[in-house]
Amino acid sequence: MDASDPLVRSSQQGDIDAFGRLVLLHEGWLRASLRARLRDHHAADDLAQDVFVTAFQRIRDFRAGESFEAWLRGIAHNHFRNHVRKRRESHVGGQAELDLLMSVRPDIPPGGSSLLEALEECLAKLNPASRELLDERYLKGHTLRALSTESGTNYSALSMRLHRIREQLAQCVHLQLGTNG
Amino acid sequence: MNETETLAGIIAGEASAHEIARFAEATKADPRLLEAYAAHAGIDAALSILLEDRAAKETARERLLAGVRNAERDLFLTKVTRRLESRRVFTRVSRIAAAIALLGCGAFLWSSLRQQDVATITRLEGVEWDGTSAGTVGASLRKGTVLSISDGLVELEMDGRGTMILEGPARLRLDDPDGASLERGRLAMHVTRKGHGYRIATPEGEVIDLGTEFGISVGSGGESEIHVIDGSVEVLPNGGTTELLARDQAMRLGGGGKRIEADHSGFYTTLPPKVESTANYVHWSFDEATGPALAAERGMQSGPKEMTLHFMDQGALPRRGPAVFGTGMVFDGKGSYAESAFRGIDGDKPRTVCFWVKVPEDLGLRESSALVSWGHFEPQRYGEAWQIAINSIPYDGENGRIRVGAVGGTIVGTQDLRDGKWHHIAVVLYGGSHQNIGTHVIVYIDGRMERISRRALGRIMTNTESAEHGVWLGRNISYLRTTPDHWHGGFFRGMLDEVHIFDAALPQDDIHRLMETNTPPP
Repeated sequence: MDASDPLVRSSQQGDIDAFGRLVLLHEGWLRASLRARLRDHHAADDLAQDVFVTAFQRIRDFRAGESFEAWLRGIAHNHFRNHVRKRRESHVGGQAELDLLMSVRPDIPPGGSSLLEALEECLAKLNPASRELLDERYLKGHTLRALSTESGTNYSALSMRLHRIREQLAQCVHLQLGTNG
Repeated sequence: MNETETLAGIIAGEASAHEIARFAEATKADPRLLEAYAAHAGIDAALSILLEDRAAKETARERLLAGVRNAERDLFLTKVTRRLESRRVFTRVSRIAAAIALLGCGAFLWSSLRQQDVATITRLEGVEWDGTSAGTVGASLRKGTVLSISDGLVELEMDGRGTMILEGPARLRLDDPDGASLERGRLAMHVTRKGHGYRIATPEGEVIDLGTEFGISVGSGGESEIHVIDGSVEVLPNGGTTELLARDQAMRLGGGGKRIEADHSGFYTTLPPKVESTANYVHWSFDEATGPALAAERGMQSGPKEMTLHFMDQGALPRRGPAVFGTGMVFDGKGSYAESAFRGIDGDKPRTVCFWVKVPEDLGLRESSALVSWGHFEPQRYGEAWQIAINSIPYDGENGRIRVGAVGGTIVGTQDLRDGKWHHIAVVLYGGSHQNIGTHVIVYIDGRMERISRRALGRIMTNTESAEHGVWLGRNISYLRTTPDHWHGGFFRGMLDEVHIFDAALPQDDIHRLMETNTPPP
């Protein structure tokens, strides 16, 4: 049984604490999926909030037996499309254009909780130097420019090194997802 | 630059708009490029979540849960509003009847109200008039008066109808005894029973009080928002329908009105009371040639207060260098800091912290840490720390701005201090009930009230008893030996001079005198 099922049933009966636990269970992959499509992380997190609010308002429409994650992904995709469309009215070009192209391809990138789980396993297999670079970039939040200055490494070389690590992780995740289902 | 390099730049967030547009165009010809972009963006986003630091994750989760809680309350209030709708139809009929009756004696009312005083200025804090001054404290304002300020706070008593605090830059017209028009700026209004029905017009609609406290903001383009702090208001957005907003509800009035998350942390609801007694203080001038910085003091609790100099990690001892008055302290951003046995001001007691600071133009994010701090730091112990810093957390506001934080509550200013010049900073926490960092702190930079760009409400309960140290200069309060906070950096790089800590909320005049003569108020 999906861990969400009993929480969904309680939420449908008006238990807001149960819905809160659903939020904590699903926020990680949902925010990751929106951040992948919308490169502005703050805007993506705001959108995640809208998604959960819509889910809360419509929780009684959710039918037992369906996947809650897939249902949430559907709501997220609608919110994402609306967001991109609205933003395009006032802002054309650059990232907005790229986000728009992504809005018509709901199949990419693969998202969901399984991606996060697979990535976690792949991270454990990385060599220490690559892991250290990821920690500097993502955990400590340094920009590539700052890392380049601090380490004395050429910016382009550093950018390509990070690119290759992501490629390696993407490949590992692909294999992992294929193996596990 | 080839497409792979451009892609790497886009994911790093450092590609130009032109490069991104060119890449987007290229994906139309080669769909594999879009798939490659999606794969990298997917891994990048997932890494940003998996490797997110604990504090950021907690903040994000709390925001999501708050959104759901607000939605639950809205559902409840919608039901209540529907019930009220039927009663309001009756009210509208009554209003039309009342309007007809008023028309009968309209000419008489016009002549009698024309010269009527509608408000009195009760306080001015850091006000800079934009054009003509509307008057000084105590001045009576007639209907039709326009208050236009480029900076500061004006408190008005609305002829028994309530009090209003106007925050600059702002332009407000006092239309009549029962209403005003806010053309731009922010105001908070507390309405008395006599003032029920007070009306504020904005470029995008109208707000009618129904017995309440509320805040209204109007942006430079006329974008108008109403946030209800207490009670309820009736809102009529242009081109929309009348809606009832209750406590902790908010609306953006443009486009016929859209409900938004309430955030009344941006409104000053009270102003600092006048200092009645002598302000006690501790002062470090850093004018000794070497060794610890000696303290001058008046009236503070007895005990040693000298500032000893320290270093940890890769840092060196702070050293002295030429400053605004004599010499000041130079901090290296690598581990130098100073500590006093004086534990700072406790609890929610009023305080003023003044100092000169020089911030280098190339200050790194991890060097943008604390200037002055004290109290007890633990991630979930909200309000127990007190820290004045240079902001380096993009989530809270722009980098390089002054930041006052208390774990859970923060304000961030607007002026970029990274210019290699000396600036005088004064942070005032004033008394009253339920002191909050979002609404009870005023910051002055070079004697002028600093406009606050971001606020997050949070109670102030500075805990000096559990603190393991006294006042720190140059060291982030979250940078502990056992669990150093590398994310936000540990140490400040730059200079500090003439640090004063007062046990009272100083008025602007005293801050000016201190800045100009380095002399505390008598």
